[in-house]
Parts: sequence; C-alpha cells; structure tokens
Amino acid sequence: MENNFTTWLDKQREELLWDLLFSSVLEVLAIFAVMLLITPYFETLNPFWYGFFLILIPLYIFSEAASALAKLKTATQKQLNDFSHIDISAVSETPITQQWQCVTIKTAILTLLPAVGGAALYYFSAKSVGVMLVIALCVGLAVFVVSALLFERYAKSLVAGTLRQARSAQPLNESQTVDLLITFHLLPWLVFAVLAFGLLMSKYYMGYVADSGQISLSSLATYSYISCTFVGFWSCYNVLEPIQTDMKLQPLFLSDTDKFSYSELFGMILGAGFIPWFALFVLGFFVPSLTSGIWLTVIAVSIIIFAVAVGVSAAALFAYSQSQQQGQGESCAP
Amino acid sequence: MHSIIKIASALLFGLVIAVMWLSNYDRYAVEIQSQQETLYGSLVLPKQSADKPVPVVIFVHGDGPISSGSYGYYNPLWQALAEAGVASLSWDKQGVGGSSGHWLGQNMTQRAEELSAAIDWVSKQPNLDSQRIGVIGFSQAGWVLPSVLAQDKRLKYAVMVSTAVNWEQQGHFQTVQRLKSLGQEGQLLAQNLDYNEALDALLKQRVPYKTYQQFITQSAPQSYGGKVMSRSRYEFVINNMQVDASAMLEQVKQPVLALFGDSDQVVDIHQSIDTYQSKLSGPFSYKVYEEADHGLFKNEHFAGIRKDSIWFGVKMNWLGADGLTEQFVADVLSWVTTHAQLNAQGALVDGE
Repeated sequence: MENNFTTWLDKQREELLWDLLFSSVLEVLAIFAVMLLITPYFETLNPFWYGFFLILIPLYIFSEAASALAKLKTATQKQLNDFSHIDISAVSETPITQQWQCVTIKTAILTLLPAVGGAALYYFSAKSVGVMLVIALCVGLAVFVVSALLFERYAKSLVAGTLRQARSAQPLNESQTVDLLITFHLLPWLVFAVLAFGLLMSKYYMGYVADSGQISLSSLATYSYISCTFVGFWSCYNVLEPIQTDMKLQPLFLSDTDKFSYSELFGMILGAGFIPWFALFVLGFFVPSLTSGIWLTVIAVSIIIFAVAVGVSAAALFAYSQSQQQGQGESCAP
Repeated sequence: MHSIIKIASALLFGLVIAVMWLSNYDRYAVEIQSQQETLYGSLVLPKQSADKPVPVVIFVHGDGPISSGSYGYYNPLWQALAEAGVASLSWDKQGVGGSSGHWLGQNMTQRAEELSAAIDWVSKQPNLDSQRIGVIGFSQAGWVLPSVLAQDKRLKYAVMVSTAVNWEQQGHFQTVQRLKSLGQEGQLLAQNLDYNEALDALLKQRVPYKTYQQFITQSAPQSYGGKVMSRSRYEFVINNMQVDASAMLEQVKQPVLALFGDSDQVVDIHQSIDTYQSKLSGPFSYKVYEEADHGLFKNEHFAGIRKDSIWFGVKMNWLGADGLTEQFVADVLSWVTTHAQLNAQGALVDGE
C-alpha cells in the first residue's frame, strides 16, 4: 500500500509539473504578448513594467502553485478509498488543508526573487520588442521554477491534510462555510484578477483614448460586458473543482440554496454582465465620453471585482446544489 | 529537486544570457518637460562606456499615437547608431505610454516646441555632446523639423524620411492614391476628387464637428470610401491643415538628407524633393529607394499589410533591419557619423 501511494504521488508530481511548466510559460507569454501588441504598445519605457514584475510575478507564482496543488487535492480526494490505511504522520508532519496555505511570509520573499530578477533583467536589457519576448520566456520559466518549488514543498503536506480532513470530516455551519469560500476561493482569485485583468483593461482603455482622444460610454459599456463575462467564466472555471472537492471532503452549508443547474450557472454569469452594461449605458446620457485614466481604471477594476464575485458565487451555488443532490441520491439509495 | 525543474532552471539561465547578448545598447527612461506637459522618453546609449560625451540623434515621430520606440521601427537604427557610438533620443507622443497631454490636441508649432525642449534637455546632459546634435524626422515631422532647424543652430544636421511639405497637397495626393488603388479612374475618380475638394473647403472654414458629420452623411459618394474622423482627429486636422513648410525651408542652413521610397502612397515624393532642392539654403542630398513604401519597408514583405494591424507589428519586429529597404540604415548611419564629427563651427574635428 505504501509503495502504491509513493508511486501514485510520483506520477501525480510528474504530470502536474509538466502542466505547471506549460501553463506558466504560456500564460506569461500570453500576457506579455497582449501588453506588447495591444495599443498603446507597452514596449515604451514605463513604470508599468516594474509594477508588472514586482507585483504580478509573485501573484502569478502563487496562482500557478495553488492551481497545481488544488489539482493534487482533487486527485487525492478521488483516491481516498485506496489510501485509507496510509499513516498520515509518515507522509507529512505539517499537514495543510487548503492550497492557498502555501502563501506565507517566507514563500512571499521567495517569490520576490524572480520578480526582482525580472525587473533587473528588464532594466539592463535593450527593451526592444524581440528582447521583451525573450524576457517573457525567462519570466515564464522563472514563474515555473519557483511555483514548482512551492508545489514540491507543499504537495505532501496537502495530501496529508486532505487525507486527515476526509478521515475526520466535520460539517461546517453557514458562517464557517461562507468564511471558507471567501478566504480560500474568492479573495485569492479576486486579488489576482483585479491586478491582472484590471491592469489589462485599464491599459486597453488608455490605449483607446491615446488613439482616438476619448472613449464613448456606449463602447465602454460593451467592453465592460465582454470583460465581465470573460472574467466571470474564468473565475468560475478556476474555483469550481476546488469548491466541489472541499464539499466532498467536508459537508458545507448554505441556507436557502435551491437547485442550481448548469444553465442557471451560465445564465447568471452571462446575465450579470448586463448590470454594468446597463449602468454605463444610462450614464452615457449624462457623460457621453471619458478621457480620464483614473476613472477608466476605476471602472475597469470595479467590473473585474464584480465579475469575480459573480463567477465564484455561481461556482459555489452550483457545487453546493450538486453536493446536495448527491447527498439526497445517496440517502435515497436502498 | 525534480529533473523538470533542473532542466527549466538551466534553460532559464541560458535565456538570461541571451537577453544580455541581444541587448546591444543601453536604454534608459528619461523625462523631458515641454511647456505644461511631461514627455516620457527613451535615451539609447552605446554599450561601451565612453569617456567623452557622445553625439546624439533626436528622433521625431510621424502621424499617430507613437511610442518612443515606434513599436520597434526605430530598433534597427538605434542598434546601428549605438554600435557606431552615437546616442538616440525619442519620446512617447503626448497621451501615449507615459507622456501626459494628447497628441491630437497639438499643432505642428507645439510639436516643434517639444523638439526644442528635447534639445535643451540634451544640452544639459553631461554624457551627451551638445555640439553634435542631429535630428531624424519621419513623415509628419516634415512640418516640425524646418522651423527648429531654422531657429536652433545647436542642430547640426537633419535626416528627413518620407516627409511632406504642404498638408493640403499631401492630403490630396494621398486621397488620389487611395482612390486609384481602389481601381477608380476617369469620371468616377473626378467625381470623388470634386467631393474631396468640397470637403477640404469645408474643413478650411473650421465648421463645427456636427456640420462635418452631416456633410459626410449627406454628400459622400458611396465609392469615396474613407473613414469619418473622430471629433479629436477632426479638431487635429482643422488645427493643422494650413501648415506649409516651404517658407521655413529657406532659412534652413544645416545639411539635410531626405530619404524616400518609390512606392510611397502617402507623400508626393517628387514634390517634396523639388521643394527641398529649390528652397533649402544648406547642402541637400536625397535618395529614392526602389520597391520601398512610406516607412521605407520593402514592398516584398509589407505590400498589402495594413500598417495598423498586429501582424504588421509582429512582422516588422521579426524582420528588423531586413524588413527595411536595403541601405536605409547604412545611409542614415553614414550621414550621421559623417556629420556628427562637425564641431560648433561646422568644421571637422580631427581624430574624433
């Protein structure tokens, strides 16, 4: 049994590290490409890039590590029956139950190393578009290396924590449930999304203004709907499986939550985008266009906050509804 | 440590070396104050640390929301100049990147004041040689450079790339080329040109934007095409369309090199060359490259690609100097290195 567990864990590590490598490099390359190719073409020297390296890179590292750890947690949850006799203390002496527990002061300092390295590389480079793309590859690999180190450091602890959680499952009351959902599913992705997508949309709006002199509220309403819907689905995709895993490991409770189907999940996220769209459309009768970078940033960030809240809420409602149905199915089973 | 992490670390180390190897010049962020606005710029310096101040070329952009590096367009020139020991200075146009203000709110006089502010800034830098300042201007810079060259003798030479002389004539030429590229000729072409003339007359009267919009909606022939200008663009055009550089050219005494592409669809290169030849007071040279467009890009690589498309930007950066017409970079470099050796009196400095 111990051998099976070790073999399983090694296989998971290998698979998840490859996933981590591809997602780290591709995501960092994608964000660099967007930053470089969409107006106003941030190949220009700008404090933006220092902010990007020093703030977004640590966040990227944590998000990649947490995503990989979340997949490991889900994989562990699926193998609970096979590992029912594993000695948890032999796996890890410091079990953790949530992937985001990898965020500590020590690991934050560790993530600052590639951030400062990236900023220094940028400072000393020629900063041409070609060089920036090579820097993007460097940053992608640096994100992978550090997030992989975090993954390696916390993988066994999370597996042990998951096994312990499953063996002594304690139902959470509503306030504990909401607390768990906000602390470990909403807040981390909210911070990441606000900085990554908020930055992207602010940049896009400012590029638009640099190009045309202003942006009409009707255009802003359309872009807000698109960004709200995209970020809503993105947030939902990121948190749905981890929430489902949490609910399988530990009964959660949300009062007044009825059946919530896939179509309702889609409808909620697609429909939510109409709220900022309508607000901006109406506002357009009073303020036809905007040029202020500050106001555009405020609008972009507000939309992202709203979208993440909607996406995570939809995921939580859907996961809870599913867990309730499964519970009912099991209790009805002969 | 897992072998995947070890391999990635090794690859990362190799890429860091590659970045340093590819960075054959140093590029620093600078801020230049021009009237009420702060211009955010790039100062490109040669890698080798010079014990003496280095000569500098100031880059002046053409039309559009252009960043200091012109999205990578200047990179081959910066590279060549840096290797020859010459610095380059450029800035984000107002409202682009880190610069305040908005380029559509500027007229050509204000852009000339920006250039003067940049010359003042260069003169205060200990690592730049204020006796050897040159300027290179692209397209719309043809209406910016002459007044500064005429008034500021700190500028020792100029390179003008695809520059025009008269705004209205340039606009007319561009419209004719656009309509011809749509296959129009004879009666249809004449009809559209009549409409264009009426439109120009309206713009000259500086009518309100709404009147312009109404005129377009009511009078534009379907075959005319073209976009309706945004309000900001409209104001930019009516504020600048009277501009004509020919009067100022007579006062320019510095050596000028003008470079054009024979496939330029934006500027009437023959008119520009004729005017420069007849008006400029100082030494004048020009060159027309074959099979090259307005940006002096090779037709074989860029014909038919929209200049504002992402694909154009990707290809331009990918090809680098190979995307530009042969000899363009070499000609600029040769002109700059020759004229950067002039001292304040315009004499060659021995051993420089």
